Amino acid sequence: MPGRPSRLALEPSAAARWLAALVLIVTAIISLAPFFYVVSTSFKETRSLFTYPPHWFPDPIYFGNYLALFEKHPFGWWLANTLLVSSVVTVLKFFIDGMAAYALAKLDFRGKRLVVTALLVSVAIPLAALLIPLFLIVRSLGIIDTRIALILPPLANPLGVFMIRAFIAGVPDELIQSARMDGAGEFEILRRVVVPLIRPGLVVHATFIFSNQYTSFLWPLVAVRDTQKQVITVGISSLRAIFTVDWGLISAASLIAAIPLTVIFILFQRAFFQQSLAGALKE
Amino acid sequence: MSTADRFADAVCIEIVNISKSFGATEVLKSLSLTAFRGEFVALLGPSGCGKSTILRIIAGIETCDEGEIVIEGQVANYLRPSARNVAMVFQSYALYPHLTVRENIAFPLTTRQGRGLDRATISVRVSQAAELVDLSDKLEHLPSQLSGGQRQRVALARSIVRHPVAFLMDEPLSNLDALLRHEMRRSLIDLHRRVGRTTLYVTHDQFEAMTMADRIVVMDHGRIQQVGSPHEVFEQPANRFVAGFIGLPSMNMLEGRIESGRFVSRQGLRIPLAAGAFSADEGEPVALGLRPTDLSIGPVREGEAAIVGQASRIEYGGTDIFVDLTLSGSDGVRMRVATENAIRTGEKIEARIRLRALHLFAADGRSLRVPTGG
Repeated sequence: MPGRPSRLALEPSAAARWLAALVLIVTAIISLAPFFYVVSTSFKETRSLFTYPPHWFPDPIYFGNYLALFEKHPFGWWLANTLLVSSVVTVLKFFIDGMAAYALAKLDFRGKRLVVTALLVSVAIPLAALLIPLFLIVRSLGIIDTRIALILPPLANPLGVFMIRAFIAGVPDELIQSARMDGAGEFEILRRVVVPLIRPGLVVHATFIFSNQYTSFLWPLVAVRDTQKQVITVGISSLRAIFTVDWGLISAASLIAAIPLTVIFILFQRAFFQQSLAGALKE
Repeated sequence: MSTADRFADAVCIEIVNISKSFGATEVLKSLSLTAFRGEFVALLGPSGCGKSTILRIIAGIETCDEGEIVIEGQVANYLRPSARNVAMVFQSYALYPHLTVRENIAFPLTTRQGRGLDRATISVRVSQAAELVDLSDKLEHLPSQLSGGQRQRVALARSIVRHPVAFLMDEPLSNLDALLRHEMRRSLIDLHRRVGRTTLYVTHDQFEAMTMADRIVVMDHGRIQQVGSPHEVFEQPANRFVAGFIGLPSMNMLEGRIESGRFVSRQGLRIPLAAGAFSADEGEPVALGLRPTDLSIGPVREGEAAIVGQASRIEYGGTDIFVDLTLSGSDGVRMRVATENAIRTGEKIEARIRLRALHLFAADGRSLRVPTGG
């Protein structure tokens, strides 16, 4: 038909698009407002927090909270400990979970079903129920109040095995059989064939482990008492005094603590979106 | 010249009394088979008959419950897949999607088992393999950038590059469209002639098997029904299954019995049988097999018989027409005749049959035809 091209029936009208934009802007403001307030608070002196009406913007900008974190508290240690523990756990779990998941997804061996069932059952047990036996085991190993005590127990969490197993199950068996016929060993198949194919899933998984470990609180609280060995979550909670709470200090600490996770998410966000689309379209 | 003569006594792959079950389902039942060096053997049968399982057992991807696999004189039952020195081409091509064509082809030479070759040798062998399958200009492409036929050729090159003693091909053309399949069939035959290695080729497409293979192994329900050249399995089917499975359209079957040296159908249709052609007893219940191509229209000559029926359905097939002929009672046959025969639906037709072309099967399905030799 001659004339201007007709608009697709499913294309939204201009009014609908404006409305959608408005809803998104309002939602964004609601979501970001508390974060903005934390940022603002971290640059204020504590006494100026309780003025009425409240000031959204700090005036003058005060850096004392940030300086106090590093001068009066071992904040640098907390940050370093957290990054160290989270990184080591992520790397080790990446190997352990990857190999276990490959075995459970693609290898046939006696007792496989039993292993899967045992792992599934262990996922269902809450950490609180395991806390005391875990503490006793770690203490008897003589590693309580060490960074190793923070690293070892999370390695036994099998949730990651199930996540990676689901990704590996999606790799066609014929690719693995073909690689076997081509003379590749099982570790070589995992490294050269499986891992490249599930890379987006693995990045999501690694980010998940890292952030989980970065924000873990209960076990680090129990396992470590030495303030220099503590992680950031426990450290920040210890900033609360018995009768007063220095909100400026806690806001500054929270803000710094959020930076590594934010950076990691920004770096790997492509993988997140790829993963969310994986399998949506037929090859 | 028989197949055994052509390939002398050089056995490449031998499987002896192989059995395999998956749970309660018995997939292969004490099955034995020999493939000679340089021979092209097609394993043909309907889906689920166990033909792919044989290939997978030979490849080492699957284990057998009983029996022995011998590859180039060595018992291979406990050898790793890579140590068997056979290459498999999968139906889905099984290309590594993250690797280029060059890396895919080179993969078997760079694995733990395949290492030991220097880069220059690998490069030469990859180039040779790619050239054999006409892919030299696609070496830096990813599989996703190739057409179905090209992907299949990459899979072939990857199997060639190892210089295996045999190729195992599991329905390698079934994912291609009809035209490409035709082209690839010819390419595969050419390739087989050039490479000269034993090929075991699984297919459910009888046309592929007939046109490509030196010998066809017809299978059903985990058992070999017949092994023979394409000519043998078509002209002298060993049993009713093979007779019905090979040939398009399928062989017509009329149920009846033997009376005074004739076949008499349940509906009373009488067809004389060539003297001494069948070893059937008087009164024995039998099935008469009649290929649609062995029925024709025209005056009956010496050694022929006539059947009269009504054309109940006519299908135009380009070079031929397919006519369903309703005979007396509920008997019916399908015939395939040249298009110059202007037949109309409902028309009464006298069809002639070559008596030498008839097949007769016992109640248990075995052929009653007396072997003619040669």
